[in-house]
Amino acid sequence: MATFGEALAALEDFRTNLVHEQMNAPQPDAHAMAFRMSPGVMGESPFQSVHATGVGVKANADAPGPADYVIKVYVFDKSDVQAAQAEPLLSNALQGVEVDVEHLPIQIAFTKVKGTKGKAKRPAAGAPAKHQQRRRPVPGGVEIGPRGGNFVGTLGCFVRRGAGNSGPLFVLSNNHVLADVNRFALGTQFTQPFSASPNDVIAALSDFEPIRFPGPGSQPRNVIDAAIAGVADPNQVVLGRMLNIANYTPELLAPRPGTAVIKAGRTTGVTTGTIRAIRVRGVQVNYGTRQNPIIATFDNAITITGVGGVAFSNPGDSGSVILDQQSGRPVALLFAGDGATTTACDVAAACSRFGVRPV
Amino acid sequence: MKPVRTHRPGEPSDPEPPDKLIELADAIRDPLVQQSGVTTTTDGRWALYVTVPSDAAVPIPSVERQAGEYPVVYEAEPEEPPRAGPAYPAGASQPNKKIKGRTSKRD
Repeated sequence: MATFGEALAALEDFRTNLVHEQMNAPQPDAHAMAFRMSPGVMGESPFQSVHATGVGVKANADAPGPADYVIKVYVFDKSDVQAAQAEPLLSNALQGVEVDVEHLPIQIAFTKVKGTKGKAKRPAAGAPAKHQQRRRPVPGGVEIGPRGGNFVGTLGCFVRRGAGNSGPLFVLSNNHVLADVNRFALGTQFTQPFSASPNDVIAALSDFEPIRFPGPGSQPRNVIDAAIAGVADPNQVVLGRMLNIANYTPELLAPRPGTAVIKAGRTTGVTTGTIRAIRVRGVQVNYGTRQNPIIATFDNAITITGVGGVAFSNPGDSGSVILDQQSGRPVALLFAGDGATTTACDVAAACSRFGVRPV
Repeated sequence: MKPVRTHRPGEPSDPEPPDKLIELADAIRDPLVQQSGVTTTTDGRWALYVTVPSDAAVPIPSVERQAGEYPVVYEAEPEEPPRAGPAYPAGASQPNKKIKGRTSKRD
């Protein structure tokens, strides 16, 4: 048992370990997924049944005292309470704090909201749906995709070439978003949001830094995954604005370890995190699939962890510009992740490569 | 001792990392070191950041020797590399793409 503060301190590490175990747990096949609601059908790992964690008291505690707090783990299936006893992470104390696994079936909220009889209120945190809608004028931090294509990423921010306000305007995002990993021809049109309509076109691919992959006798290193697309109509975009981040300030800032950061992305909306390391060399990034990996190596990368065990990013957030939370200034350009760690490149190096600056 | 899974750096005590540390992060060599970089310790001192296999015993003498005056933060290497990929929205089919002229590497 522990105090509330001790349990809270241990919870963050517990969540990190849990994400790791969940990522490595056997994945259920389609049949198991189809019968997900039948208790015990999943069977492979109790980690897949965990749907919530927090600090609380033991389920069978009669009169808990001030030092009776534990890490609470809630699972969908009753059978997984027993199965959890075989998993060290779910049964052993962490930093002196006990772990208590409890069965809590899926909760369905039927909160009655004024004017929306019978509809459940949607959670506001992150608000990803807002980042996937059509926006005019277009701010940073929203969904973008090749016209008529089949994938989406994030419009990081707008950048301008040259001094003053008369130079050409561009969208800044990743190579793997705007150039589809070196594949797209210059001039490829991009829409906001994902669309096949010419009415939704906002930009066209102008330039990209090629991603270099290993070949016979060569082990090339990359520094940025970045590309720019020329804005079709400056009247359709709004400068100095990042969707749902009020203090966006388009002035570059060097990243520092320990810095609290924030980003707006197409998939997870607005999330916060902490920079873990900078100038990291030798980062291997997979541009293929889990089954068929295609690896490129990056130097000068920046690694970030989400706050409170929440993922800082997910697929589709690629291209997001990561900001210093306090000042709203860009410190990095998001391009990869594994659920627990987000990998970003130096946004200043990207701007330098294309001769542009955030606006 | 094993490397930590997720290091939590503190606010840097000095705003800029020492040049010598940056050079060290680029130059550090050890068979167990997979990635190297710059971070801060939990109390804000600038430190060498290295990732090593999760079952490696740390501290590693040769790394400590090369780091000299700087503390070393050992973090466990992720079991899979991070993925750089877009999202495939509902209604869009995910292609089975290959990058022409590239070699793929299986772990």
